[in-house]
Amino acid sequence: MAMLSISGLSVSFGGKRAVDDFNLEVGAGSLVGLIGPNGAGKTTTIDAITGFVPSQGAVDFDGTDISGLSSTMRARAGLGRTWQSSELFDDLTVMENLQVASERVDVRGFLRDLFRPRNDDVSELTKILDSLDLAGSADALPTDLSHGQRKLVGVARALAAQPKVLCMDEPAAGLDTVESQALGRRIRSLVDGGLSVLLIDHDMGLVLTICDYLYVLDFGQLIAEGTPAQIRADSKVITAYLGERHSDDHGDEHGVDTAVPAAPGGTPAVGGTTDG
Amino acid sequence: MGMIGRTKVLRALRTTGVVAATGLLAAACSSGGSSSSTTTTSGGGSSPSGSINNSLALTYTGGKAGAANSSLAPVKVGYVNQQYGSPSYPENTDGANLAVKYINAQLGGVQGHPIQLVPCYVATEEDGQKCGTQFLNDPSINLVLTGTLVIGNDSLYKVLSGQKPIIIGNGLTVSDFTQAAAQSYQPGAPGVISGMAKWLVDGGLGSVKTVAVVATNDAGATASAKLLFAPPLEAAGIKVTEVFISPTAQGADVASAIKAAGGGTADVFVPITPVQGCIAVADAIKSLGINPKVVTTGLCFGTPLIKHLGGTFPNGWYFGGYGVSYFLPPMASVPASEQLALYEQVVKQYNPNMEYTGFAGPTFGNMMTITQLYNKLGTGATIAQLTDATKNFAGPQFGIPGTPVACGKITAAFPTLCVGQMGIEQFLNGKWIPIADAYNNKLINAFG
Amino acid sequence: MNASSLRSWFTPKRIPAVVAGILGVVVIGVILANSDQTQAIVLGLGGGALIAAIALSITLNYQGSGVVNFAAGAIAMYGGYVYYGLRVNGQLFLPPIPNPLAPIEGIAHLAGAASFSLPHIPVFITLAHPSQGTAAFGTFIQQPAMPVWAALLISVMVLAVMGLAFHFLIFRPLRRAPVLAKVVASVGLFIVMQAVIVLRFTSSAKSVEPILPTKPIRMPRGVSLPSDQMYLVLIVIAVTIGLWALFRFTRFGLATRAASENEKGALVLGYSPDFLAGVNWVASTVLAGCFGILAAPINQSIDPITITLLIVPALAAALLARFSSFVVTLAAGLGIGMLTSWIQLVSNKSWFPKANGSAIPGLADALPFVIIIVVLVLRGKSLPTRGSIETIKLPFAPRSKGSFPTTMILGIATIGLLFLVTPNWRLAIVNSLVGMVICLSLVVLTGYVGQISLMQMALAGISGFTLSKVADAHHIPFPIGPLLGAVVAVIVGLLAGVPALRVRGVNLAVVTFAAAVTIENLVFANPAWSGLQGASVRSPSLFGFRFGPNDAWTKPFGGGKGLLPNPWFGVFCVVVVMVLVLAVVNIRRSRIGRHMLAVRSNERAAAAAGVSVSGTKVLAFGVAAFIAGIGGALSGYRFGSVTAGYFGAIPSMIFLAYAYLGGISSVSGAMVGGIIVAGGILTTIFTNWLHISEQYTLLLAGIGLIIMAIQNPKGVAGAIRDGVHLVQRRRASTSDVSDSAIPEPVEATV
Repeated sequence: MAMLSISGLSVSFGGKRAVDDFNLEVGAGSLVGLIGPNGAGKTTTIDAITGFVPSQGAVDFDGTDISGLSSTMRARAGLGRTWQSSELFDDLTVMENLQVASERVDVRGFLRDLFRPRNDDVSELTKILDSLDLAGSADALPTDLSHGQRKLVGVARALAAQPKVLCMDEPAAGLDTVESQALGRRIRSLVDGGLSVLLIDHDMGLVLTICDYLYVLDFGQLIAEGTPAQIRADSKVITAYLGERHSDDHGDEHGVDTAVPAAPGGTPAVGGTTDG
Repeated sequence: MGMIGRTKVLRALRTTGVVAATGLLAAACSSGGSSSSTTTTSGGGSSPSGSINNSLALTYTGGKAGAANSSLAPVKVGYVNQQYGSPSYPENTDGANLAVKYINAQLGGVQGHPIQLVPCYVATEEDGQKCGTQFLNDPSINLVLTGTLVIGNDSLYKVLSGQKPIIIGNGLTVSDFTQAAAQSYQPGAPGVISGMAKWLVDGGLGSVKTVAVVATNDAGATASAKLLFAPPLEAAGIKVTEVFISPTAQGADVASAIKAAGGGTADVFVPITPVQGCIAVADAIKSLGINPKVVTTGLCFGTPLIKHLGGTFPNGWYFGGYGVSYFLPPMASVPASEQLALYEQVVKQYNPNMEYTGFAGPTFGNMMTITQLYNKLGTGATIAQLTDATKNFAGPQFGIPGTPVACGKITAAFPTLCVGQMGIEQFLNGKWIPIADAYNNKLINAFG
Repeated sequence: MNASSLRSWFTPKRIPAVVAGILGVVVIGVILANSDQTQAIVLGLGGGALIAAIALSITLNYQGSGVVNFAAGAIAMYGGYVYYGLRVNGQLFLPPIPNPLAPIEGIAHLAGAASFSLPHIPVFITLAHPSQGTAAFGTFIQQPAMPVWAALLISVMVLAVMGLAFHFLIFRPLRRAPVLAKVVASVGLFIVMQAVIVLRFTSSAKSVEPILPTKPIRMPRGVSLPSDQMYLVLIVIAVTIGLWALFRFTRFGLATRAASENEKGALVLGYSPDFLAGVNWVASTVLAGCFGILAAPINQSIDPITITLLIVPALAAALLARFSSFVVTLAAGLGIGMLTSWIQLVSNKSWFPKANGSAIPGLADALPFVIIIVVLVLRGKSLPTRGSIETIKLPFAPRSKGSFPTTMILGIATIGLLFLVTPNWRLAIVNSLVGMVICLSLVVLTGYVGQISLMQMALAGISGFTLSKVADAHHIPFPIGPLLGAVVAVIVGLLAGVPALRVRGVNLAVVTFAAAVTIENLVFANPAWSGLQGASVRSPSLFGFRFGPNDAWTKPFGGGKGLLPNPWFGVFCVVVVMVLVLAVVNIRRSRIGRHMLAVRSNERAAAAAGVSVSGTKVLAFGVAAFIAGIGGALSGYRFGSVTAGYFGAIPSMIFLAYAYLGGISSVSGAMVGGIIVAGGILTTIFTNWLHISEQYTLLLAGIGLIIMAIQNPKGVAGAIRDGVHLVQRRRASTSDVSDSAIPEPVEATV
């Protein structure tokens, strides 16, 4: 059964189609990758799914069409996301960042808090932090953390909302290979624990290693989909990644990731040649 | 941590230092600056010449000729005026200080004791309450005089009302005239505006069917137009069209407002604005090419208008005022006009550069009245005595025609008023002409 | 076309088209309307030109140094006076400059050498003497002392020096400071400019003679426009074209535009951003000042208020142009002028909204703002777009610990003080307490949620007038009356806060300013609402115990009648402040506080975390309006009356400055903010202990705002917290050498 299914998704910016008639499905408990060169429309797709850009087409989540809902309502329905650049709340501690995502405000609770603030139970959140090796940073401010830690806090914050589907926008960007692999294992274990994940990343090694199924976008168009093995063999994908036709819109990340290790089973990596 | 730490300590220290630094600055400023009113206002060249007619003043105050004995304990008068902010009315203070100088130098003070102003200036609403509290709690002050307050007056009255007698000087807002426990010995805006309406209703300008009004959208002018001016005219079947302009209205807005009110076609056009507005009105009338019969108030008198027109007034305009004029020669049959001339002589002797045509004169007159009351009651006059005396003061008020003074009995709407008569003069072909005033014995009974 | 498709159609690129469309409609209106209306619209051009010039100056400032200059109108006014002083009196006036010799002289005087005198800094420098004039009707009419060209030339030089001084003394030190610190400094400048003019020239109007020829220009259909206004319009159009060309075609303009987005951009083009900011400050100051000089004669007189307050429509025009397009700024400025003039004319038509039988007086002033709010709301987005920089940096908002005991101790100590100090100080404490309440409302809204509000005093006024006109008039007893007032303030605050859901940062500041102007004009100045008789407030009483500040009281120990103000009113204020302080502290410590700070730091991420951004903002606007409303009611009880002038746009602006300087992100900051308000504890220290003449109070308040903004861009409370942190770290560092392990919260937000 599909937890998340989009059909005919299109996004335009000023007459230019950033995503064009895109269909995608994320099954329950599966890890689906969305890859593509820079400017392919990956982040825009996540923005559209989570309601941050206006789009056309249907977004079905857990059996209901959520395309009319605001981003907040989608998040509350259980559609979580992380951000390319963490986007942490720098004025709040790490634990407070997580609390924001896990707690709801209602008028009655607010009025009670005015006079007697609750001591909110954070044991669940502590567990999430523990699982991401962030236990020691609960009271730190995000600005005092390393880049890798900030990325993890971003993931932890998304998890704190107990999402059913989590859209992750380049969680490994800026991490070194070791960190990246560790993150991959964590994501995999989350999926094994029942979470459905839509993952964007430039680290082809990571994506090809951990994903169950992949979609490849280029210029807002789907050019391929399939299992990692099928994608590796797809000629259109190889062409898209070989040609340096795309402007670099992500600043510090150049092109497609360089480090695509040989996939398990000895199949040659796809993207490894693109950076030259 | 060294560097960052040190700058932070410095910053924290400097925070507290700001207070001290600005204090020092203020000390420095106060010796570097000087009152600007003497340096920027010019003129005073037309005051009548001749020595001061002290006997007239002594008759009024009931004092003895000569200087007050500065070694005796002074008689203190609390004085509140709006000053040092925008807007401010420092000319009141000029008038009050001039009176104190003159009274102490030539009228023997109060029974030989010097009279002394204890000033408290208002620039914010908080100041009004502060001044009230200060005078309320100062046992040496038994009487408070105000100059002009458009800010802080309400809070001042709330503190002092019924506690110490208040003489309200040149009131501009409605609440200046609705204080049951305070007195105003001038007709003020209520008297002048109501008088203008009455004069028009009574046919002062012949048969009038339509009146156009352009008033500034501030508390004083709005109240004047809506509460005082329009109702009597409308009751008499005259159509009144009122248009309000922003206090910051520019020339164009004034012209549009005049058009909207029908200033060009109405029988009478009445601008109720401060002097800036009057200048704009005068120019707009010119640029619109209309020729209305203009009736306005003495607030239009100001120096800027005269300067703007190159030493004259708008031709043909009627001005409502207190019934005597600086610009008409004094008459023996009109004591108020002689008192006005006396005041001009005092100006010439003590402060020839001050602008004497505005609020200064009435404030001077109030100080003369206060001196008279104290001379009657003695320097030890109590609050109760002074409260009675200010309430029962029967006049005449210095420089104001239209006796008898009858506090609280002029009109129920404005219990503060003690005088209800006003006059109208016209400026025509370079000359001032009495239309209905003290000089031709046709003072208008505004509320009669 | 529904609202959302209208919004998507209304993109920034279309603004020029929309403005052109509006102008086109105006032109068609001119052609179709009757000649009176045409005349009114044409006459509005003159006033519009001045609005446009001030708006251009604001836009230039923003481009050059990222400052939204609330003092632009004051600078124009100041320029007018510089010229007036030179032309008429031949004198260049100087602002009060601290004399380093004065303290020496003061000490000598104290030591008994009363005649000891050192050189004073002059007040005026006389450059030319007016010729002998003639006296007419008690007024001395003199020939101007200086030819027009000389006075103009010197004025321009003075203005250029002023621009440099503003840059080097105020805004350069603030270049990396948060946006709000710059806003506060410009508010300080606003106060200083006005105070200097009042000191030197008094506040009464001065007549000015025309510079440009004033012959009426006849146009078709009997319409005429004085030629000076026509010239003014042509000059402002020429200036706009010049600025447009400068910014479009020259390296300098390109560099300024680049610098306004990214300092590196300017460096690449070979200009230091600092140089650019300096040049732009000089240009904007000269621009505003010169138009002040040229426009004063069109108003026939100059005074410290009229031109200064044109900042309100000018900001609106600049905002409509997003502080970037000169051409749109010009069109908007002229449009506002014409619209105001036209509304003025049609205010007597039968269809025009009426109050008490005559046209609503403030509508001409308010309508342009209503239009602007609508445009902004249509243009705005409920969440910022990717990569937009509409958020403002604000100081760290600490989560206080142990605030309950601290609040109790401070509260009880203050209550004790109220009974011990002299009446003057009691009043000062009460004023500070009322100020604290308003500052607390800004802590919630601006400090916690990052929504700059320039309307809190207007909301306080709504509550005050409700208390007077509704509660008192219907004999609604004490605790219900002020609560009713606060609830009405909440309703108005929510209405005014709706645009805030779609508008952010400095734009929101201007929108709330517009809301305050609208409230001031349509409510406070509306005779149907505020009444003309003044609005008095009955003193509060509970169970027969009256505790208004002017109610008599008996000393609790030893008996006897105590001096007014009644300290029990102060006690009441303390209790209110304590309750509000604890509530605001609790907000920060609870869920809603975390949600608020999440919205403040990142609206998109907050939405993704399931936070209702709009809901949080609405709640904050409501809570802040409620607190401001309580403040307004307290203020009404304090004075025994409410007055329109005390509440409104300019007081709201000044109050934001107090709150920011105190420390806008924390409750302790609100306490400091209360201490520095007018009539509060700090002012009383100035007058009672330092014996500073009232003459200088306003000037010092302005200078103090500027100095404090530069010294503590994060507010006094933040600076004190930094100091405390430092001491703690000093202690800690004896045991632990590593510094970096300790978070530096405040630094992180700069």
